[in-house]
Amino acid sequence: MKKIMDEIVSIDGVQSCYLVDREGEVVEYAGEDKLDKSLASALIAAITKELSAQMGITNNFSMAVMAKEKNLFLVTQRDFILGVFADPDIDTGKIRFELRRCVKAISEAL
Amino acid sequence: MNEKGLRPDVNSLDVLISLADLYVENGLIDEAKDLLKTAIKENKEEIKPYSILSKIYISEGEEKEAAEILKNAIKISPEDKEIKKLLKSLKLEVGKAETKKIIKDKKKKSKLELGSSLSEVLNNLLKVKGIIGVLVVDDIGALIEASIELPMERESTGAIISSIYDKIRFSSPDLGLGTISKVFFELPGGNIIVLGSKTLRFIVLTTKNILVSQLEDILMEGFYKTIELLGVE
Repeated sequence: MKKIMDEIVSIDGVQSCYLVDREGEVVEYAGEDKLDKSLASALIAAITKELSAQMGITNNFSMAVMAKEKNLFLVTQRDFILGVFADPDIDTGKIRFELRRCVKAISEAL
Repeated sequence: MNEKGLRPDVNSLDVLISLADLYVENGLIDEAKDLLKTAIKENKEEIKPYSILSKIYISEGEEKEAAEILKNAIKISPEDKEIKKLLKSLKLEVGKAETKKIIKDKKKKSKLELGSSLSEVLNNLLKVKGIIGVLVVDDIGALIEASIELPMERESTGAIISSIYDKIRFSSPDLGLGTISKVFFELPGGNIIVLGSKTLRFIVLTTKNILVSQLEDILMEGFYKTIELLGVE
């Protein structure tokens, strides 16, 4: 699992990567970040939960938040959420493609 | 030198190339080109004038002409490293230029007259391939205007998406994201793009298989037009 996460953070522009369970606990983490890991993972789960609850979609959806300081990419599966923080100028197409590939590998590893 | 003795042969390759260099140094580009063309004509098997002439064309942004010269050169000397390198870099430049042209043409084609009222703007956006709905709500999620192809409850859809957007916005400082410019949801049934300002949420619903990057310009245009029409921040 750690290897897959390290692969993600090796992508140019990716700062950190969180594998979080649906309750907001950090399962695995990679990369450098000044964020409080527990808080970040809890917020990632809370955002996902809000979307699930409001729209009635439980899994297999993704989200990208483009912001001034950094971008956040979230991919939600049945058992986990993959959250990636990246530079604002990152190639969003490339990162989303890579995330899809990594999510598949994580699902298989789990 | 020629058979007449010490008088230099005016067609001598070295002389022509030196003269061409001199012309370039003095800004006489057309003269340099003519001279190099003569050099090529008189010395068809020599690579150097091809290489210099192609560089002049490249520096002037005349990639097609440069490519023609280099293609002829590579026929004469298929293994010449400099010609191969120039040709390779040129292919990339031509590729980039063509891509830029395609994007420019597409933008030109997709340039839509958005209209002068909010309902016109939203209805016109709905004409763009892939867009199936546009909703404008205020910062508390109240619907201002909507144009949707699908039979769906406009007020509640706007309010729900706005509340998710706000959840992300409120989490933004703790996540170190800074000001949010855009949120993109990729859902099983389609995509949702939310552009937000201080007082406005511009929500766009799209079909699943759409390249969002292609919609970027028109959506931004629609968003800013909406802000302008409503006179809000």
